[in-house]
Amino acid sequence: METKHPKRRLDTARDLLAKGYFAACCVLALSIYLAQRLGADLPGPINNYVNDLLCMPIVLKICQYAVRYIRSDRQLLLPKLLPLALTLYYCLFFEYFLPGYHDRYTADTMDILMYLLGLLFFYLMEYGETGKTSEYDGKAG
Amino acid sequence: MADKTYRTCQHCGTVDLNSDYCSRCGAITNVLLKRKLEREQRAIEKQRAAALERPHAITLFFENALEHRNLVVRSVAWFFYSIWVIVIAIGSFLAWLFMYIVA
Repeated sequence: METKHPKRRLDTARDLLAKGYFAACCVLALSIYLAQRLGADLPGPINNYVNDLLCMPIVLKICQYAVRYIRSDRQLLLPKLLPLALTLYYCLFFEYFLPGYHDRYTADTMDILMYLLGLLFFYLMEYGETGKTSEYDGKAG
Repeated sequence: MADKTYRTCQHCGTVDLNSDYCSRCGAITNVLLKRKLEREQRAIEKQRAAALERPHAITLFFENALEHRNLVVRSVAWFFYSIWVIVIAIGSFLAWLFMYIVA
């Protein structure tokens, strides 16, 4: 029986993850949101942080899908600085601007860390370990 | 001993030692190499097919507008066709949506 080389097995797992992570993130985020709405007693870290962690991969993937659709380019990658800029925008909006206007929102450093971890996950999934580059890097786009 | 690999050609049955190709008919005898080459070929064909696909109406509209003789039309098209503008606009819309869903 043919056995797979460990590195090849890892590559296959990464390919599968890269293809399916968006759907998995959406399902997980929606499940947590529905559980919260239904008043389920979720453990603290899941209740407070998992959706913040999933937020950036979901938002960035939706943006990437939209740009690919508008530009008719299935292989298009976002310029590398753009996901970071959008993450900083979300950090400022949800953790600095909104808490000043709305009682429902509180500024939390852990949330910022979760956004950044989500960004890192997106980078790993989309640009890979080999450091793929976007043809729009360094251009106005 | 571990470095010796005998491979039988599926086409003519020739057995070769430490060779990826048949010494008699030239066919690939290494299955892993064969699969790798097939994967690469499929990827190339997929890219070629994607390149031949005709861009849809939105892309054509913007690409025509980018070459319009009027500078204002060209500038507006350049602005709205920019990846940064598209991403920030969609990101802002989603942020607004999340704000209302959570609140």
